[in-house]
Amino acid sequence: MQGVSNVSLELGPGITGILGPNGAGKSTLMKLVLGLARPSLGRVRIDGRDPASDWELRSRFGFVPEYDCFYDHMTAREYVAHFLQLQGVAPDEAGERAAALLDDVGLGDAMERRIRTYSRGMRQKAKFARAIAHDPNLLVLDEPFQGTDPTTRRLLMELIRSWADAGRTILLSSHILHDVEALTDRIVFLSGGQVLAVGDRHAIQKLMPHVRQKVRLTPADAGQRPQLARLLLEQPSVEGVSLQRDWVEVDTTDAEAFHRALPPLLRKAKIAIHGIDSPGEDLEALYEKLVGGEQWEA
Amino acid sequence: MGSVGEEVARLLQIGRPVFRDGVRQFLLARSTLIVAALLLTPGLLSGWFWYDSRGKVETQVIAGDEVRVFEGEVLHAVMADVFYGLAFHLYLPLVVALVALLGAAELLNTEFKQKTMQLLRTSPVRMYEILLPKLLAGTLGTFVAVGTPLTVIYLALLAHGGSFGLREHLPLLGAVLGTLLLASLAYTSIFLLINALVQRPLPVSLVYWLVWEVMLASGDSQRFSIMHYLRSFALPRLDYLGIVADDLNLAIESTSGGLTELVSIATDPWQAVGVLLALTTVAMLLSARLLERKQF
Repeated sequence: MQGVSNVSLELGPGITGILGPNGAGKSTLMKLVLGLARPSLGRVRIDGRDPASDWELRSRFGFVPEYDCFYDHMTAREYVAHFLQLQGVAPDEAGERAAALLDDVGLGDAMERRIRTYSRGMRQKAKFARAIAHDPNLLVLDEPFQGTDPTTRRLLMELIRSWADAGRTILLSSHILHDVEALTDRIVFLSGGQVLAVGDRHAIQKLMPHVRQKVRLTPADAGQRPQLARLLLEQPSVEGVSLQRDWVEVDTTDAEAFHRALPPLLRKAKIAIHGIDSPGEDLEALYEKLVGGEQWEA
Repeated sequence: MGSVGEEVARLLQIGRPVFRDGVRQFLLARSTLIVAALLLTPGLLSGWFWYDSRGKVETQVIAGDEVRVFEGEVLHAVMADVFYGLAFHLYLPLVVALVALLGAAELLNTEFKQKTMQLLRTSPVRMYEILLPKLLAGTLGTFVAVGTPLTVIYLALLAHGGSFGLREHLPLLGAVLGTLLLASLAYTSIFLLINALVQRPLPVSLVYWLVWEVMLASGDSQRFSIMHYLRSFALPRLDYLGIVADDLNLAIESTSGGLTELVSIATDPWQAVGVLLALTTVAMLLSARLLERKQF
């Protein structure tokens, strides 16, 4: 198990995505939130209460682990109803609610089959149905899309969005950048058990001044590119400049200082800029910048 | 914390699905079915005896009762001896612990293997609310898995003694089933504790059973074993058969003034029940604490 250290996070309603490669500490962080592990230093609080010792607090949790967690001998309906009964729901009502939920996630026809006969996607749906059956307000979803087909993935994403819209707090981990990007802008980057950055991808870039970034400046007059390049090289925040056919590409390790210094510089040199953008400013590029070289494969 | 009534109602509500599922899991487990089938095999003795004695059994009326006799032996007494031997020297000291061991692993270790323990730990339940129904399921499962074959064997053997034989030795059957119930409870609690304590409970449980319950269960040191208290509970109930402490390994040699004699070290039967219940309670409290504090 990868330990986590120096992790300080506050979670609120909506979706928070945790990104990181295998062994980054994503699952450990989730277990800390759920009280399945205790921090040796520091503390975890849900509404001011300790999830590791406060058993009543757990009625607010819904948990979808990344691994299979089924009773082999149970059907999906029995499985969901079993955990509903542990929430204090009467057996008959538990059975009815389980059936309705399984129907909602598309397992209506298969709910009386034993889960061990299910495909990967069906198992994932059964896990989701169990996790939300008791209407929790904190959902912890560990690699929820792992092994699912595109249709199931889309369905699960819609469900997650609807829960977030209903005001639930959702903590979602994934090593698939696209999945997290499609669901939320609030991202926690983990690597080696440490939080590398928290925020939306733009904020993260600001938070990571030491990370080398590329900024592409396209002058309105392409003939001004050499002049612009010379001026940019004089800036302490600029590490290097390359002249391209239509633009100037700048390497900076202090994007914030660079963006602060750029407007007066352009005004002084009377250079009009047609466009500024950061190539590869997606999560993949950002993550590679943050952790450099670690593998994403599951 | 609610009132005692509320706590009991909650325990019944939470415990019901766990208990029901535990019994189903236990009794439908392949290992249980195989063991139960194997345990029935001594019943074949009855068939063999029926074949061997056909046409040679006489019925005599003794003190107003119809008693069956074979080659001068009163059949119900012979069969009661056979049943006593099977129950107290094979099933209770050896088989019950093994069945309870397998059952506890089925009930608790499976939760770890299937990773459902993590779901239980993220459910709003206290671990004793899960463990108690599992203890009851394990106790009932062991009792049924061993008690059913024992009862069948009793019926098969004592039927040779006619209806009188069947009735006459009901106290023996009662003693066997009573001891079996206590054994199921105590062993299940110990094996649940081992399952909560270690990741590989089967070898540890086997070592405990062999070292503690089999090797230790003789001489004075047997007071530290479950078996001692089970035998102590059974002893007075077997008095009518002429069974004494030494027959149940409950006697030790004592030398005084050059005279060596066998002295019973049997514990008072109700004290024995108290010790077994206390042991079960402590094992459950420890198990619950271990599971509450387990990190995943």
